[in-house]
Amino acid sequence: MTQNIFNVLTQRFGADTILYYEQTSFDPYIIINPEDIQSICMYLRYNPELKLSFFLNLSGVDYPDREQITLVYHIYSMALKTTCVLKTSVSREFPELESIESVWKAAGWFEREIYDLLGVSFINHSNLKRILLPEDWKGHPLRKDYREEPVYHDMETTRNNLLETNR
Amino acid sequence: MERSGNADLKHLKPQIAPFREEMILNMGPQHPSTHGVLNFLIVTDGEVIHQALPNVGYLHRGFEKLAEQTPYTTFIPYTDRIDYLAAMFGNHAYVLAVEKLAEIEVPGRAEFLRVIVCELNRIASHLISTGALALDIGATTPFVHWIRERECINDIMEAICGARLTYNYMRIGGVSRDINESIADQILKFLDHFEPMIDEYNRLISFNEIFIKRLANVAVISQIDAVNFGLVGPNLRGSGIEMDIRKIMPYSVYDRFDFDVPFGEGFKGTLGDSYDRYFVRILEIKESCSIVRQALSKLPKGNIKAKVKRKLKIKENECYSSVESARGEMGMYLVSDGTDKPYRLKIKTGSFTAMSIVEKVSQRLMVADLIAFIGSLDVVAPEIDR
Repeated sequence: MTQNIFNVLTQRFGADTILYYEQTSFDPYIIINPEDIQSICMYLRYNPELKLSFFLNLSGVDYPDREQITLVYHIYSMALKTTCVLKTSVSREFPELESIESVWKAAGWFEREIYDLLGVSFINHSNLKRILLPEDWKGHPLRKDYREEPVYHDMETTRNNLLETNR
Repeated sequence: MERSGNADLKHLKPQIAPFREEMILNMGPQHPSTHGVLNFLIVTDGEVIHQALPNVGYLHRGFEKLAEQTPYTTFIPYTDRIDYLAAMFGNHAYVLAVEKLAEIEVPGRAEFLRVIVCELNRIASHLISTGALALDIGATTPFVHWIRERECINDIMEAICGARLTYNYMRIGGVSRDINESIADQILKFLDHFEPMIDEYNRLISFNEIFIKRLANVAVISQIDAVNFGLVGPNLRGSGIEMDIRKIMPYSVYDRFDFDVPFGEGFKGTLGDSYDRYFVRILEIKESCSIVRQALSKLPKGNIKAKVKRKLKIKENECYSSVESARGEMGMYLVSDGTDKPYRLKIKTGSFTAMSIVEKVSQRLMVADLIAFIGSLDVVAPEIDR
């Protein structure tokens, strides 16, 4: 089924935008160009044959060795009863791409979470600010090279190992 | 500790109309009807809500980061704490994802045991949800009735796995303990006692005129909004959309049971109102009872755990697997990299998306109706923040 979606997308957007189709994974996925994420999602949602109307999940994965942050979109079609997985990567240094809040409202909060924990900025997001962590928190914890600050508002964030100190 | 409160107030200021007296109220984080530590910033003129902004994150424990530092088998107890009212589903979603990645075959008996405990847990969770909703809007008695019934389920769970709330029952490749004849009898006895209680409860509160007036036509979520905001579970079905992960992407052995998926029909008012979401849960309790009976009668003999290496290493791959938790779809996106720890685990929960719709639907509600609305959404704070 994802093969079919891949063919439809390649026909509509061309091979420059729809880059690659990975079959060997447990959930086959399509790799796309980050610049066109919004228009591709819009197309997938309102295409009368695909009807990928339900937004399931948005996750971000940090790959420091590739210098990339990968965003994974899981979308479900209630009409076809199938899941479509889209993947796109942005650079770690300037992570920025178009928000898809205008396509699915549900994506808005997921994008805020990714912004909070991985530091990816979403353009045209209505309310892009931290959601789970305090506003004045430093850093993005889900990045692989994240180190917690030793002190936060006069509170120490590390504790001695009691087993070691009582020995 | 200063949270994002100040920034929110700045954001709200330009929207305050000069000709009307408005105030900004903090509801929570220590408010009894927010079901945990939740905060709402409410712009109101005293009775009608002009805007209610949910402020979440008080219970963020960073499970996704913890998962990256914990071996696969050791992370199971953490998943209990994602949603403490329905801990089995966190267990189930996680072990399903790991089993899918590591290609582990689960014995039939273990699959049936998982279904039994999950459905019992769904009943327990819906009892709290429907009871607490009645409690929130002023009816104390129904809550006490449901807590009494839930206590029986807690006793059963304690007999099965030794814990009453955070079970840590499932293992990668099976479950931790088998059930014997006496526990099976205990479950059947409970169901025989409990099923008539549902009708009694309905007579007590579900069809009570005041209760209906408090919920019917309040906080209506249209089908378009429900899909757009990604609502899942009873909240989505309350708006009349028949979507249940157990039916559309059957996992475990759910395809072998005969059960219905109840959905809202505008039982006492408009389709998608608070009463629909409430009553869908009552109907689901009945279906769960039927599934538990079927599973007990079909329970096969055999092993309860597949042979799995103690130090589980999974080669580079990824998968997404989801279960129908008591609060809707709970999904786990798991990426492995060949070591004994996940490279990345993303947990998607039903309460998270349910909270995002509050800002839209709560406009022009009465303050008292906001309580009924949040109660009917059945959000659990630790599940939002993870």
